[in-house]
Amino acid sequence: MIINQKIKNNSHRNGFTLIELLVAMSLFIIIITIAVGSFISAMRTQRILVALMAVNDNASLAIEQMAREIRVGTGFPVSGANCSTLNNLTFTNYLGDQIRYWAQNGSLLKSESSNNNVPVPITASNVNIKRMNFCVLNRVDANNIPIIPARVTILLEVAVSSTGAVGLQGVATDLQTTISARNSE
Amino acid sequence: MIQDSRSKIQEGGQLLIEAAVAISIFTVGVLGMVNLLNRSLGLNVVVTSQYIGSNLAMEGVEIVKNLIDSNIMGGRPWNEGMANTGEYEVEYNTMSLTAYSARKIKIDSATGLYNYSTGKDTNFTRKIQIQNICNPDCDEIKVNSIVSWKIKGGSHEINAEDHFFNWRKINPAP
Repeated sequence: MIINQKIKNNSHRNGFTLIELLVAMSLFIIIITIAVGSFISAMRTQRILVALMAVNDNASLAIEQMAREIRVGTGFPVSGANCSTLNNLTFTNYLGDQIRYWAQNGSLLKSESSNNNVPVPITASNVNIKRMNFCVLNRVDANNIPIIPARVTILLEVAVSSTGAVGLQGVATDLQTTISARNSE
Repeated sequence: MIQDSRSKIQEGGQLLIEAAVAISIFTVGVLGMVNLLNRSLGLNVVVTSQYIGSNLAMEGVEIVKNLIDSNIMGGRPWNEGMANTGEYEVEYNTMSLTAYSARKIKIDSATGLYNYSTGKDTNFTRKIQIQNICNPDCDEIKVNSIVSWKIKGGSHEINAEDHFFNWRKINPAP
């Protein structure tokens, strides 16, 4: 029986059979497809993660920068008993500069009077500021004397910009914080 | 020696087993990598919620500070409305502390405003703990702004603490 197989084997040793070739090739194709597919999806996930992290980092840096300046700022817009919702905020910073913050075309912009009011973006281009509003509560009495320290609520909606990862533009984060000005004029 | 003579015949079979082992090791490795990336995508959602939570916690502290400063500007006792140690709730336009009732913070989808009156419930609750520290004068207030939420099956909490002092020595509330 062993001899039989040996003979048989020898007579067929000349090359691969069609079946062998087919099996080998299909196995190879399946493995390569899985490998390439998972590699591409890993790359995409990684791009998404980098884009989302950029959004969070930019948003927290922008909020922190604005909050520090507002906390020691003066000259906020006067409001009634309810806070007035504004799409830009102008005030005087601790150096006496006129500061303005607003959002335009997906960027968060800042201008200072000491810099000829040139708008300077403070967020990166891979971040889309979908909305930024300020709710300023700065009540004064009949004699125009403030009755509370100015309270500024920052409402920020951020998302991945259109130049960022594809298919993520709908994922937006709403951030909010409130700052109480320390200098009550 | 019979095995010896057989080994040549069975070479094809061994190749298939080797390949199967190699493929399964490879698959385990790739699956681990894909799993890792998916996990990090999920964790990113948690990180984002922590950004929101920490900003909301800071808001709580700032509003208490605002109320203390309002008392001083109004010539009232510096700790009026917060002379009692307890748990409270505040929102962006609060003019006095309200008792804690574990309300979920809502978000107004039109303006993105986190508040208690309009919009959809979020996962976040905020508790403001006020503690008067009297030694013997009540000249120190300890404020803890605790934001807690559940996301992706996990509970999270951010506890921001600040201490405010009666450095102007204005008589405290009786």
